[in-house]
Amino acid sequence: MSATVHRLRPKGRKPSEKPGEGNVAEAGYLGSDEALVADLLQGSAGAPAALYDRYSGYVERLLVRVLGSDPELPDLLHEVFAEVFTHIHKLKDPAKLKGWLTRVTVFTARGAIRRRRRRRWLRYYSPEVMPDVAASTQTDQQAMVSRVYVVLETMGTQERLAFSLRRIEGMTLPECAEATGVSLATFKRRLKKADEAFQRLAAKDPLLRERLERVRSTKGGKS
Amino acid sequence: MTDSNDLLDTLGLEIRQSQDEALETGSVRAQVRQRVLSQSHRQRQDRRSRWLLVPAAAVVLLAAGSWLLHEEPLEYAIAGDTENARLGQLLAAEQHPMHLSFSDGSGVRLAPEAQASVPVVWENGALVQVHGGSVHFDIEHRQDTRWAVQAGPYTVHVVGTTFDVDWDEQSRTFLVDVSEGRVRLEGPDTDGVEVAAGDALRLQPQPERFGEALPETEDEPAALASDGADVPQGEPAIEVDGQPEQPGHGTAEVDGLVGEQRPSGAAPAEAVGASEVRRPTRPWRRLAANRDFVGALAALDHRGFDSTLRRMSAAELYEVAGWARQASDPRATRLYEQVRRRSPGSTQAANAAFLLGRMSGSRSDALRWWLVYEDEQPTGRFAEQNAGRILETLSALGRRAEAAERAEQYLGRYPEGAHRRLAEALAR
Repeated sequence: MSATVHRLRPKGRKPSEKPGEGNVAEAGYLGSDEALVADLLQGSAGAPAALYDRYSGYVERLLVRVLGSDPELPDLLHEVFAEVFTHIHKLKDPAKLKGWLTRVTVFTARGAIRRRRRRRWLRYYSPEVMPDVAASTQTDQQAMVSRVYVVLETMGTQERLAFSLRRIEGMTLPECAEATGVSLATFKRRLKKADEAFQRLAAKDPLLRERLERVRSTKGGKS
Repeated sequence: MTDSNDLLDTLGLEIRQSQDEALETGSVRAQVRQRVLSQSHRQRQDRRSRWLLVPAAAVVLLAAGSWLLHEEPLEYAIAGDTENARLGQLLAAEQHPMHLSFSDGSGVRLAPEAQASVPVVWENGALVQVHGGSVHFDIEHRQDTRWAVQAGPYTVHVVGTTFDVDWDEQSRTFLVDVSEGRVRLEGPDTDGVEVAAGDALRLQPQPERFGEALPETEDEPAALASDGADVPQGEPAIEVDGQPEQPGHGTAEVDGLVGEQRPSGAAPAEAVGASEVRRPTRPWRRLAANRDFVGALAALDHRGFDSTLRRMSAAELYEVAGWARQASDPRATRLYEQVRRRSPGSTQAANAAFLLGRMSGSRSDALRWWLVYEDEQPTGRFAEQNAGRILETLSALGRRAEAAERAEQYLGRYPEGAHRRLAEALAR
């Protein structure tokens, strides 16, 4: 069935024009982060939903950048917001809500990495580290991404975070330093170490080696 | 060192793009939302209870009682009745308006001659089916409010707002008129349209296509309407008559929702009285609901992929194309192209263009699709991502002047966009 749509009178407000504002809850809260934090602290009923709708995409993305495709993702996303709702009163400057959320997310991801390391040390083979997509159904791109995370898995936690935030998420160096709670100089040192470790380890993986060589030759060809 | 930086940044960008594709569905966020918010709600309730615990244990018991009551499904009553109304009961206002009061404070008023029913209630809302006439809604806004109104093939999703829905079964004309707040509409040719306070929207099928029957096959004579694509994933489909696949019982319309299964001459009471909530019946829908997209496609193959898809609406086809894309099934491209042919000018057709761009084997093909999307949906849900991908592709194709010009536009429009760094570099 095809239908004709009639706007019966001039629009009072335009429907959502920003991408991602697809749901009513998000569209319903248009205040600043400061106002949102104030509402949360006052216990306003819609404030948790507004915060979740505004930032859950960002938090999810950041978790995926650090951990890759991960069956624990829903639990970690939950963990981040549970932490945020419990400790929102500790946020000193409400204007820095996003930065604070970033730190909570990064620390949650770091906790997950460390938990898994401990399990590995205990020789407990955790099912959540099993790849969730059969190799045969993966595209080349997906296979490459999986291999990158296999390499990251073998790197130190701090280096892995540095690489994920800077190279994969594309955060600026000061943002990365703030997110990981270290000075800029320390972060730069970690990143250098991470880059070197990644390139060394990636060179041992045929798929990644080939991909890096291809990127290198494309870049070389252009310059 | 700069070479190494470039190399790793390029690899990172590829990873980012691949991950963003997987994140687009938003299914994890939706899945976690309810958990997070109900926990937050309980935390608030607990905090309140703790304060109340100090003065007197009796008050605590009262608070706990009210908390428990709050977690129970809503109840509703017809004004003037001493008992609560039944689920699925036909509510027919005759010469006077009929008022319904819900236990969450929401109110519904049926204008004279209007008919409606409430087949489902949750602890935070209800589903109201408008069978005909004008119905006014005044929904109490609460955390996680979950109210929906169905009229014919259209579903209005509500958080907290005041609005009217008018449904004329005979002409199949739907009207939503929003006084306060904002609602989201789903249904044929609407695809998530939002209607804000001060707006009214009327939808009317084009007469020449209305009632257009689908070809039927021997093994599956009924329409696919019981699995209507407009019922959100994870939401229960509402089976009106308990026999959704009964041959000859539906209008077999392309975009038919459950409500259209009722024979046009039958009184709504017959149907609604027996209503019940159930999970999707089609095996491919069940599998897809569990994110087993490979299995869903295999189930469609088993039934006859092409013949089954021919009987689907463009919305359903779009959904199946999404399964194919997520399962890395090569048929995804063909399916998205079919969506574009079936519903030219629709949001789904435009979204299909965007996704075709992402699946294209060559940059120039991808660019062509993304320019189509930009043209068709300049403020659509993928607009920002689409603009970013155009930037990347123009840059990769060496079309620097165009890329620089578009980068300026991108930064003006999406100063916090995901591709801002690339745009800044290109704009320099």
